[in-house]
Amino acid sequence: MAPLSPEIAVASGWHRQAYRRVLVGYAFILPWVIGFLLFKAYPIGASFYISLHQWDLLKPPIYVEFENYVRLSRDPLFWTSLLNTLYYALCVPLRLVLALALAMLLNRSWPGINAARALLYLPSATPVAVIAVVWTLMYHPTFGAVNTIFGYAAIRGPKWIASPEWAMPALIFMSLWYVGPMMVIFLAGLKGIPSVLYEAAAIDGASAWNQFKNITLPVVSPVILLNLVMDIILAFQVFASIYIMTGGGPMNRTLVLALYIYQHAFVWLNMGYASALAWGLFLLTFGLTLAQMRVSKRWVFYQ
Amino acid sequence: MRTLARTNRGHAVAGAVLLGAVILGILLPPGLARAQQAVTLDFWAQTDSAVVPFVDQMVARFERENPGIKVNTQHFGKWTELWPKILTAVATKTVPDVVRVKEIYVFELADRGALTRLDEFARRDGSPKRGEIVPALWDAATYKGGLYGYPQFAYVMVFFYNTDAFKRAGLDPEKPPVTWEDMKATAKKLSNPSENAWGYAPYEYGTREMVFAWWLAHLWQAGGEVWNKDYSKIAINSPEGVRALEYLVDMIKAKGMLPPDTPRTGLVESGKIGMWQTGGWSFPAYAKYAPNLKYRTALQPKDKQHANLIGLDVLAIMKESRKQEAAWKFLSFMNSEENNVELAAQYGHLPVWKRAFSKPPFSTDPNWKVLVDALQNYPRVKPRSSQWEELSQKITPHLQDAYFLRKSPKEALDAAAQDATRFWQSIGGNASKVADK
Amino acid sequence: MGVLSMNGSAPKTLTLGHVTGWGRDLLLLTFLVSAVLIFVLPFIFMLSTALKLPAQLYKVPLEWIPNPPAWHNFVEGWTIRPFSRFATNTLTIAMVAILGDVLSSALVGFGFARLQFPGRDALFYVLLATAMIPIQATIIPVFLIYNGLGWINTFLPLTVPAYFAVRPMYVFLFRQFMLTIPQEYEEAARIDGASPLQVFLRVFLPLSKPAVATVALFSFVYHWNDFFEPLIYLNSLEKKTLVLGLTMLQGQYDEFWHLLMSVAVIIALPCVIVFLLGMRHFVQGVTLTGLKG
Repeated sequence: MAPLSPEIAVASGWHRQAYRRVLVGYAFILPWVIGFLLFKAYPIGASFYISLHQWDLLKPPIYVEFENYVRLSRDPLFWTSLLNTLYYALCVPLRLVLALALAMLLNRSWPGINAARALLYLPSATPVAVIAVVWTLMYHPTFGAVNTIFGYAAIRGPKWIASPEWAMPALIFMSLWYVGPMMVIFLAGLKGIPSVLYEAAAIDGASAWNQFKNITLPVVSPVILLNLVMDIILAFQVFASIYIMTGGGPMNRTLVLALYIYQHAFVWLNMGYASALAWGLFLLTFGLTLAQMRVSKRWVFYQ
Repeated sequence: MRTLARTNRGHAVAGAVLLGAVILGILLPPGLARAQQAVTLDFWAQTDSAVVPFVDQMVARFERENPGIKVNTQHFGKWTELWPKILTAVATKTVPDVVRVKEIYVFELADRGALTRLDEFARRDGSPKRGEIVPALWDAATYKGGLYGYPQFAYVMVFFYNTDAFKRAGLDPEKPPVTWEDMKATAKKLSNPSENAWGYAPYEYGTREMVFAWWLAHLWQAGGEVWNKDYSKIAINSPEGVRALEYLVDMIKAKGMLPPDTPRTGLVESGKIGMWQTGGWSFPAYAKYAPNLKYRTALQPKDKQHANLIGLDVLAIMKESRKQEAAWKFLSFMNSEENNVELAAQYGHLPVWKRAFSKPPFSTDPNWKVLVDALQNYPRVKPRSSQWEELSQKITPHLQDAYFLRKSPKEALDAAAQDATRFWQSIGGNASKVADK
Repeated sequence: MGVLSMNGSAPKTLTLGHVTGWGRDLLLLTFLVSAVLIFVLPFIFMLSTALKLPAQLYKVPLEWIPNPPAWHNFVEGWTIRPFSRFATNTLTIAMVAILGDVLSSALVGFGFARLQFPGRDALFYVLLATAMIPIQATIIPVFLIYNGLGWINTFLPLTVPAYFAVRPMYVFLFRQFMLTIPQEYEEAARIDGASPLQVFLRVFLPLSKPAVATVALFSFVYHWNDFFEPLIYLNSLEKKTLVLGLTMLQGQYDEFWHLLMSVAVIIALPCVIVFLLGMRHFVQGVTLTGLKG
């Protein structure tokens, strides 16, 4: 097609190119856009809509306005599950500390260090259901490994997941066991710190703690933030291990919100109320993440 | 550029073909398989681990005698897994064909219109007849006058005692406790808390429906009832109810009874429990896991009267199933008098046919005889009502409060009755929503 | 930020209070060894229980090495439920889903990495933000969609979403990786007159093999592992997955602990083997997600 003049040729070519570029760009991300609309955006909205109804799937839904939310605010089990969720999330700082500590331990070139790293990561590569089942038996007060080992040290171990006081601590303790991914992320971050910094500080007479505080922590702080945010989000959603190990008991002391939502949605088929609870969880997660991001500006050191 | 385009297109085609093949590969085989089978029945059942092989054997025999019908048995270890699955299946219309359910589920499913009424089938085949089956059990499988479940097993909860433990404590193994007072004293004698040995262990602690159910036996022993006369309120906080709960809490306080934060698993098998509440279903489990355990059964001690918790398992056909005839054949086979008796003995449950009780082992083995005695003379069948499980779970947390000694029995029961009554009224509970007795 | 190599400089010296030299190293070594032992303990316990006979389960004191070891438990546990069927199911789901995950994430990742279009960066932040949405917030309507389509009790709910880049982490991984591929490659292809799709298929995808490997590994572990969604979507026995089958061995009143553990060992094994073989990619992948680009 012969152009009329060089200027017009360039003009029409540019526009067409730009237009095509935009189209192509959107075409490539189209799968995600569809997925986002179908599996994230629409369900969140629909979930709110359902929460305004009472529905058990067998009979038609009944519009009840905000009744479910009122019920939620008066439901002692909702507040219990909320508290339990936050209680369980206490495992996150513990996991962070352990992951960082292990990463620092692994940050040397001893022989066999890679094997150690693999063994420490191994639990994270195992299915959660397997871990849950093994730890259920490990926590048995009489025949479990944990109390047996305590017994070797002449300590009378508590009843763990059978006891209302110790059930949640037991779950938190177990969660320390799969810090693999976080540990590896920290390790990568640590490896990026040149050793000259430490050597210079040592020459200056800085103690190990000072070196840690002034060199390691600041450099690693963005990584800490990332791990913190992601881990809390995940901790709020934990389901499989609690479902398998305690089912929410004893006495609802390990009933976290994720489990409570499951009970209402898929055991008692209270779709409306379950949706209201789910929105509660969503707002909690969202709010907490935003808060963390805001606070992070104060303590995270970006290079 | 042209070569690039050609190979690129080639790649695209290859990719599409591969994807298509993968998808076909997933969708096709099951479809083909279904076309080849004559009839496949999906059978969902709760089955205790020790009994699974026996059920499978009997199902295999059914398949041999009925070529053209294949049965897919899905064994669930826990009722708490089976029940939500059935409900969801009903709601999403992906139901199995046959289910093995407890009497309370029969009521709830029939209430929701999810079960096939069996009277026509029974009339046509001449079996089962009400007269041939223990009446209390037949009634437990009915809903508003129609038979919705083919009674399969009666489970009777009594108590067991470890004869070795009795002898060690200087007690006569032929004379188990008969009244509540006897029980309290015996439990104390058999206890040794510092060695994690306990005189009496109830069936289970927790917040499951069964926790309420086993306590009901004691409520009935004291002469109490769950509902008030017109079934408008839950009346477990009556003086009889308080007495029934105090009986247990006193035993916990006196350290004669297993405390609620100690799991019972393994303790019975290792001989650390003197007396414990369970039923015949433990026979096969002990044979496998505790072959050296020496035990006897006895009627639960009486207060005002004897009462033993009776439950019923039935086989039921889902209304939405498209294989009603084949399903009925399966039911009739599994529950025929002969097969029922054989399977019941394996399960440790009682068969439902009256004639069976005059045959061994039910008529000869002393442990079985106690169960028969309980079923025939002092039975109380579990009440069935709308949303019984949810109702029970309004009560069980309060029972737990009492067992953990956080609340007095009266406080706990008052709170429980309040919660339960509020729930009962919110679902419009009245006499028509209950089958009690 | 480029791809970080795992052999960066590692500080050999770290003063620990007054303890220096040999003593300090020994102390740290002890910590490390103890940590490894503690982390490995549950595996040992799992194996030990898997080899016991039922009557040995409730013995006090605990026997760590059962004598004689009951190797037949593995066979008995595997056959007492249709675990072979469960394994086929799990593999099928995993294979189909992995394909979807890799293809869609690579495609979308490329779009965000190398293409220009208005709103690109904003949309990318939206994508990252969706990682914040708890699964419980969307599960009920999604379940209802599937119910309406008649997809309950099929593998479709577990495989189809993978083709729509629903996991932000995988897209992020591909994007980060593709950002590091030098411009020259892209420019060379462009000069040749290749369309963006051709650039993607002929240049970037082959060069992104490490990212592909990482995503494939993560996806495999995720789908092998998945409990919640199969629990909700799969009803009939012949459709269930391995981890669902494992929990079926938990009893109401008695548990087949010895069989439960033996099956647990078998189920964990493929995951562990895949992990050990692809360890390098795991570490690389986890690293890529951890360090912002």
